[in-house]
Amino acid sequence: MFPERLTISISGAITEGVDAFVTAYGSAFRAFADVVLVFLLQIEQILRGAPWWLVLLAVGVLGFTLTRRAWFAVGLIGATLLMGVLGLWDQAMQTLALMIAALVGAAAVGIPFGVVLARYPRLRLVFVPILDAMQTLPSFVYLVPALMLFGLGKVPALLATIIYATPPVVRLTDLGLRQANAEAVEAATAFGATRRQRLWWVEFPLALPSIMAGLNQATMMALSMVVVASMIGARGLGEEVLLGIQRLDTGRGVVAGIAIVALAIVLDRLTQASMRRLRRAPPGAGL
Amino acid sequence: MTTADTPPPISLEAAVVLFGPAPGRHWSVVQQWIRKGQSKDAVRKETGHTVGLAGVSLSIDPGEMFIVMGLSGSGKSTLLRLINGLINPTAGSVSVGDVDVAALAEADLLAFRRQTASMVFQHFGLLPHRNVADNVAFPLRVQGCERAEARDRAAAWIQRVGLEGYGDAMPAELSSGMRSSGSGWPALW
Repeated sequence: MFPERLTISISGAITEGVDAFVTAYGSAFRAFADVVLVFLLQIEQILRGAPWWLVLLAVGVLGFTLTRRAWFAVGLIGATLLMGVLGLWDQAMQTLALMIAALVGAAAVGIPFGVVLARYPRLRLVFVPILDAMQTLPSFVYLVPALMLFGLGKVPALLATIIYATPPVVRLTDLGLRQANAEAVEAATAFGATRRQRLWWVEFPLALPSIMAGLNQATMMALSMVVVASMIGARGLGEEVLLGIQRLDTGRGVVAGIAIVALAIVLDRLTQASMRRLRRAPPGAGL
Repeated sequence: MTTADTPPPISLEAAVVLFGPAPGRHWSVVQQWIRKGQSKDAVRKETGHTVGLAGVSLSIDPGEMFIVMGLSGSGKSTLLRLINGLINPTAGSVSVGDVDVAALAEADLLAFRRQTASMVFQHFGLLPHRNVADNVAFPLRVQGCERAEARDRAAAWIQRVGLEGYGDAMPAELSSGMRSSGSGWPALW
C-alpha cells in the first residue's frame, strides 16, 4: 500500500474552486449556454419537423450532386432509411442535429485556430502537445468540465462533443495551409499579393481538401462521442444505447448501435465525397 | 511593368545568399571556406549552410537584354528572386533604379512587386485552383482592380494569345504550351 502520509488531497480544493468560479461567473455561462441551446434546438426543430421523405430526398440529392453517381445516392438513402425502419427516426434526427451543431462549432473554433497556428509556427511548440493530449484523453474526461460549468443537459453534451472533435480540424487546417502548393504561393507573392490576399485567394483554397479531411475526422470523433455524451444529457441514439446497457436490454442497445453505424456511414461518405470533389475541382470561386 | 517607358537599371553589389539556419552569423566562416577553394558541398557539410550566391556583382542597363546561364542549382532563380525581393541578400546589396530592394518596408515592397518588378515563372506560376481567366486576372485583382474590369482586360489578352474558349479551363487541363501562354501576365499588366 502507498503510505497515506505521502498522499495529498486536492479534490476538495478543486471542487471548492470550481464552485466559487461557477458562483462568480454562473450567469455568464448560463447566458452562453442559452445561446448555444437556441442554436441547437433550431437545428433539431428543422430536422425533426421535416417530413421523413424530405430528409431522405435531401440526403440523396446531396450525395448525387457531390459524386454524380446514382448508386452512391441510393446507398445513402438506404442507410438513412434503415434508421427509420428500425424505429429510431426521431432519435436519429436528434443525434444528427447534435452532429451538425458539433461540426459547426468545431469548424468555427478549429479553422481560425489552425490558420493562426500556420501563421505563427512557434505557437505550434505549445499547442501541438496540447492537441496531442486532447486527442489521447478518453472522451469521458471531457464530460467533467462541461458538467461542472453547465450542469446536465444538451448544451454541456454539445460542448464536450465540440471540444473532443476540434483537435483534428485545427491540425489539418494548419497542415493544409503549410502544404499549400509552394509555387502558387510564391507566384502570388511575386505578384505583390498582401498576406491577406495570399491567405484568402491562394493558401486557403489550396488547403480546403485538407480542411475537409479535418471536418470528416471531426464528424467521426463527434459521432464516437454520442453514447458518452448521452450520460450527461444528450438525447438521441446514444441515449438508446445507454438505456440498453442500463436495463440489460441487449436488443435495444444493438438496434441503436446499428442505427449509429448507419448514421456514421452516411456522414462519413458525405464528408468524404465533398473532400474528393474539392480535390478534383477546387472551387474556382473566381476572384 | 506598367507599359514602362524606360525600365530602371538593375545592379547587384557583391550580393550573397546563404541558405541555412543562421546565414547572417555564418557568412564570415563560409567566406573563408570559399577563399580556400572549397566546393559548395564541402561548405555545406562543414557549416550546414548552402551557398546560393557568393558575391555576385552585375549591372543591367535600362532596356538591356540580359541572359543568365548556368547549370541546375547554380543560383539563377536565386538571382531572380533576389531582384524582386522574394529573398533578401545575406550580404551585399540589390538595387533597382535608386531603390534598395532589401531595405523596402512591407508596403513599399508590395508596391514595388506590383508596379516595377515582374517575374515570369519557369513553373508558370499558375494557381491550380483557378481557371485560366481568373489566373490571368489574378495579378490585376492583387493590384486592387475591380473584378469586372479585371475580367474584361483578361479576356482581351486571352483572345490575343490564342487561348480563346479556354477561359474556364483549369490549368491542369491545359497542355504545357498553353499553360505557358496563360502565364506571365504580371509582366504585361
